[in-house]
Amino acid sequence: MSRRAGLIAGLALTAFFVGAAVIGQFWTPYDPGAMSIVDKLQAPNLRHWFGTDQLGRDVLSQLLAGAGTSVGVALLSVIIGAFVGVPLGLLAAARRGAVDELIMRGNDLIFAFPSLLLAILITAAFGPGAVNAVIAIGIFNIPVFARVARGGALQLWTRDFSLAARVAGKGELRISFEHVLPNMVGLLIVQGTIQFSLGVMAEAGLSYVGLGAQPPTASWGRMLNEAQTLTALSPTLALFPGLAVLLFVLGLNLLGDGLRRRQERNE
Amino acid sequence: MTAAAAAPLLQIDALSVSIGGAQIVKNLSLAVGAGEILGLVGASGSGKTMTALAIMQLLPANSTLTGEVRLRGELLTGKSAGELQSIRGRDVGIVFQEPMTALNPLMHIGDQVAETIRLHRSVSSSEAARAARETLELVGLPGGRGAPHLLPYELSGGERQRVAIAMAVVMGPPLLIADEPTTALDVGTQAHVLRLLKELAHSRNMGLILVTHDLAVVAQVTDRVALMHRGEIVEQGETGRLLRQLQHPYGRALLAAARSKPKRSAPRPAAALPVLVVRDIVQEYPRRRRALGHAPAPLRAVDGVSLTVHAGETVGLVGESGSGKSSLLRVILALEAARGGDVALLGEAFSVARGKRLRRLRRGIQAVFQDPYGSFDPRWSVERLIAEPYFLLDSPPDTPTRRRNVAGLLELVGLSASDARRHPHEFSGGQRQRIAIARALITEPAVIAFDEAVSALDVLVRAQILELLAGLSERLRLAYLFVSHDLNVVRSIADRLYVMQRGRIVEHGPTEAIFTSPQHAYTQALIAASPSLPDS
Repeated sequence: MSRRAGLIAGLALTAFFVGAAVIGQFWTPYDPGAMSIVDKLQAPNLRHWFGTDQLGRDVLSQLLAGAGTSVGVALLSVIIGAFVGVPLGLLAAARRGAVDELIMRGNDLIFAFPSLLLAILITAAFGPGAVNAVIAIGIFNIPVFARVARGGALQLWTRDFSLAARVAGKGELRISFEHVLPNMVGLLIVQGTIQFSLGVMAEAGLSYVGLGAQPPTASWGRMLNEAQTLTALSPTLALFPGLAVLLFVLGLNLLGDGLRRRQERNE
Repeated sequence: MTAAAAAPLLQIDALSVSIGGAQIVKNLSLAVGAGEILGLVGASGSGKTMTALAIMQLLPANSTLTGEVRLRGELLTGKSAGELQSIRGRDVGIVFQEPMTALNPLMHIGDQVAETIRLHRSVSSSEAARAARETLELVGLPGGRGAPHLLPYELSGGERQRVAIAMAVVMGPPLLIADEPTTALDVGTQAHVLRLLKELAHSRNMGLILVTHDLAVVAQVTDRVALMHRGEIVEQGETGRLLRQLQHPYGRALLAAARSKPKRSAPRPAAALPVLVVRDIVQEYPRRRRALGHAPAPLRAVDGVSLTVHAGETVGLVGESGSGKSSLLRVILALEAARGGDVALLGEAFSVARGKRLRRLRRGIQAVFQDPYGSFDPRWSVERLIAEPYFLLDSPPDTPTRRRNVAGLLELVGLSASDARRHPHEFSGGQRQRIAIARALITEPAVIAFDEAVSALDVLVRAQILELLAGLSERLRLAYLFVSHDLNVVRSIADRLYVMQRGRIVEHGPTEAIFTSPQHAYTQALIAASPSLPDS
């Protein structure tokens, strides 16, 4: 039953943060960017539940707005990775031979490339920002999805129904989309959840080193960066964004793990 | 059987097993004497495997067991996990069906056998290694060939099963349980493994429980038979006598099915039109390059095979695994391009056809595959699955026509029209093969190729499917190319037979002629190795 508990906890945490992100787009207690020097560095209190930062901005409002950045960047990068990677993986599995080699060696190339270096390159070329973070993280999701899709597809290609479809005159690409892809949706959802959690981490990391979302866009990573120098003065300032990243990533991992177990049981 | 009467080696009393509330074994009592070979026979789902596992107390976690199992008078039921662990392997050995997964792929087979010894007895590693070598020799893997240092992937299926047997008998257990030990093996290999088990039981005075669905195997090897049906033993007795005078209707049905031969009218006149002509097919696959240097010569899977199937005729293609029959079938179905030769379907070149022409020709040949569980996309409805080959038509029929045709075919293969809306997982293995046959029929082909299409089915279901196929062939004047490793199946349905060995056809001719006077040594060996039932 503990497996089930993990799945439920993961689902609850994920729903909580995604819900917070959605709410943060429409309403926050204060304007997350509004500075008020007289209110700076307040400890948590009734007016500012999570306190204020060195410029007097409300931490809760920043966290809510930052959740939107996290979810947005992670989601878009998963979509980029899945929409490019999955067809590549399907193609590699369907064609095998030289096409397979080409795609998989291209994958290895991306895998081997340090992700931070690529993020710096993109930033150097296009300037820092959330959109460029999405592109950088998305590119690294491509080989992951390609590999998972190829593995799942190779296994499905050994099943007799793919032979039956070929006897029915269907080509490899048509079979890939009619028979292979629908039978690995579960696999891809699990991988998507895991990549989503890595995306949240990566966004926080890139923003922390200044390569991600730029002010006035709120971001957990940048909040951590700004709080870092003030840890002695105001320890709660780093605590809340840190906890937010931790719990969201934990929730997504529990969810991914729970879904994977459930799927294995069904097979 | 004086030993069995006095103090049976294994005594099971009123054993009942239920798993998750469903009763799998009901009030079963059974005895096995030393040196006795008992066949535990039944269809899949009859509870025979669960009975075997219950003896070892290896049941799944959510199961409950009542009754008593005694080994040499000692009560096994109710023993602690630790006590049972020392009994397993030492007092009771077990061999499972699948030799591919029973061994650790990364361990030398000698070490795997030795490991069993060292689990039960504190001996030095060199002593264990020596005992392991001796046991491997005993099962026919001599140390002179360096057998103990081989890894599982270097062995054939039959050799792996020998290793599994060595592991099971190395401690000299008084009782050995073999659960379908030869089901995954070819006939030739099956005969060797069965002979080995029989010799071991007799030379070591070891009790052997042979769990199987195959009555012919039982007839050949066992002293006594217990017939299981729906969790109960419905009949048991001395093998020869029991098979002659079965009382229980299920037993009779099983025996009749194993002997059955679908009724057919006289063989077609040879003047019938050839619908499928296969000429000089050669197929090769590249071998993996070892390190640097020249690429090794490709593996020649099919080496100049020619065969003909006439309208309305059933042609059998027999060969052991690795004989190239699957590769040949892929070429015949135009799923793979051959290195040489050609295939003509209804007088037109099929193997070189492309595009529209290929799709039109494909309507003339359809296929039924081996695995009734893998042949269908689990997400599709039966109607959509059966209608899939309509993709070959330039203008597929509209929805009402399609529905009507699918419904008609479902009834033709013995299912009901309302099954169209259901999904494959709702059907049994036999029903699924019926669905597969319906799918093969929808384009009204002239030939249907069957790739081991009844191998995964129980003997009763198999007989029903063969009956159905014989009827359809007659009514629709269909030709069949029936590929199988099982001589008995092919004998019961084929008009003519091709025997394939190492990529070549070594013999062909009318089925009965080949069975009564096989010419080629390989055919003779195959027929001799194939277990058969005594005539009634």
